[in-house]
Amino acid sequence: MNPSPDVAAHPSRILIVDDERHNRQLLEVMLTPEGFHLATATSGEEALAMVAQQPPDLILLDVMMPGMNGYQVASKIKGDLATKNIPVVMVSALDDGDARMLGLNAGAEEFLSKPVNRAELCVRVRNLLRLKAYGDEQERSRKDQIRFKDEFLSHVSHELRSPLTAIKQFTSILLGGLAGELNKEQREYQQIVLRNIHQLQSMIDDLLEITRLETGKLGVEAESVSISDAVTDTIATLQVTARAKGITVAGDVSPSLPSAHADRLRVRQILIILLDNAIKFTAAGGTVMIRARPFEHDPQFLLLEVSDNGCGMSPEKVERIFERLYQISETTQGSRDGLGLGLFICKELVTRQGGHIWVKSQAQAGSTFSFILPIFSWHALIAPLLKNDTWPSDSLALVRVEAYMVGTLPAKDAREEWSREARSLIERCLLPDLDVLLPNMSSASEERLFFVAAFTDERGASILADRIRQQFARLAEVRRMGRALSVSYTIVPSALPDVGASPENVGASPESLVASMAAHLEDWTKSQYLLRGCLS
Amino acid sequence: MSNKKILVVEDDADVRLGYNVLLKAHHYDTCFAADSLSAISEARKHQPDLIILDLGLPAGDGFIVLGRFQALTNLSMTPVIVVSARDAHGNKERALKLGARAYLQKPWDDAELLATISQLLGQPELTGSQPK
Repeated sequence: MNPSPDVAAHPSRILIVDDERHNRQLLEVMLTPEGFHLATATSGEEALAMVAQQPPDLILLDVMMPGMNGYQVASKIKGDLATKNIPVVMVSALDDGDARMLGLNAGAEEFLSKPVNRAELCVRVRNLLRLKAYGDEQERSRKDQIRFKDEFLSHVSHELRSPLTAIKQFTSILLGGLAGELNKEQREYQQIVLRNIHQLQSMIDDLLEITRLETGKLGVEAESVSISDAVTDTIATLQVTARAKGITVAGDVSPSLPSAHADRLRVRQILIILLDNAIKFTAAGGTVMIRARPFEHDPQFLLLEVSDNGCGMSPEKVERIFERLYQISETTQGSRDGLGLGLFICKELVTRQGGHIWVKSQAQAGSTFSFILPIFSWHALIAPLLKNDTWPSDSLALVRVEAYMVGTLPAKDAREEWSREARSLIERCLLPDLDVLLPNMSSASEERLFFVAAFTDERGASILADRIRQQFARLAEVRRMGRALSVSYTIVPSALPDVGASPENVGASPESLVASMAAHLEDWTKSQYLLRGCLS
Repeated sequence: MSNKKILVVEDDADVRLGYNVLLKAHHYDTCFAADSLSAISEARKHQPDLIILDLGLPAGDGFIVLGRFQALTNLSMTPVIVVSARDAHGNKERALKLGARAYLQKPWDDAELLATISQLLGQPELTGSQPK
């Protein structure tokens, strides 16, 4: 049989896994003349490590091995998305039907009995390699197609923005009276143009958002988010639109509602899409409400609702409303509006923040869109650290990072941008599993503060503080913009105030340790904010 | 007091005309460049008080121009507003890192553009946090 051109160009990599040296050598001797690149592993564990590091094109796998046996290794490889396409050939001295079935059930493509016949081995290996090459090619072409589609969408959307810019510029110039006063009719018509420009603009934005969602470029950065602020902001953003349609918009947030553990900008984005939709499908004189309260079915979540007394939807529509590209064909105005991507984006954003979204609606009676988001809890924040064996240690180092801008930065979103960047910079300095970044709680304040809790000793804290200082210095250098920063750390010797030292807590459960630690951290952080007058 | 001068770097002739009408109406003097090379030479020649910079330019990316502005002593302090059709996502961070003072997405709102300009020129209301 002629080797396929692919094989000739790049020798296929075959991993031989057997605990007995003699068996490995035998297979090597048989396969070497075929021009393969051979590697060997002496145990299942070693094989998995090698596969993870550099996936081979095929695996020859012994069944009976100390530690992990061949069946376990095969199911591990077949259960992992990244490695499931690597063909596995079981090679075993066991030659009964049961062993064969076990091997094939574990996902192996072939089962060869020892002693192995050289000619058969080579034919089977070649066949499987050819199939794999074909599969790889298919996968590559599928990925290319998706990438092409995303790049095309992204390119087209950007290109559409340029002519739209000129259209919007001159419409604004006319409306601003910069080319002479307009009469009432001319003004009205230009307003219509402008309204349609905005519609087109938001369609383009939606398209790009979808591309980002699908290429995994859309990031969600969770922190402590005030829902009451988000609701107020959302209503303020759309108040003008609502008033123009004669619709009342009101917010109702339960007093002392806890913060959500979510991405501030994304929460606003979701609320804006839902409120905008509600206004769109409600007739003049209608009312739209945004409500927020604790979720009664699960104390770990907050419930947010946007409800209207507009045209509502039939059950068939309700079922499909969150689908991509689904849109209500007949609206009250009889106009199509948007691409039908808004609710799909909402659903994706809610899901990515650990929540869930649903809708209740009745035709002619209105709709209520509800979504839940996790509550911000100190407990949940530090619980993952428990996995670390060395924790809780007898001391807790709290590194305080304080950063603010000097001079002026023009727009509010530039401040937001800087705040995000500073946060991600600090995040990069942390040791995963050891440190946790505490949330920024000064949402209403323009001055940004960041806190880091490092669950290490004093030395660890000092290293972390240095690392953060260096990173920020570099940043300030590049931008040459006013930045001020102070990094300090506090060592709390009895970090577990009621826990570590007192005899009654010896042998306390990890859960209660976390609870106590969480309470301590919360108090400490709040006191820091109060100190600076940032927390109302 | 004489009018402040704004250099607009933009390759689309229609958009340049739009800027000219808007900025003139708000008592700014204007000068223009349509590509990366003339952006640098025009900036040196006119010494503008503020620069509006598009990112997608012929003869070199806007980011390169931004870097050049920052490297030239007499231009490094001139505030730059980057205005681009490209997504703010990623590009905004990069532009601010390279020294731009604001990033506006095309198509922008005139009100926002004018407010950003006057803030950067230290005209009316100055906001922003000061160190305590």
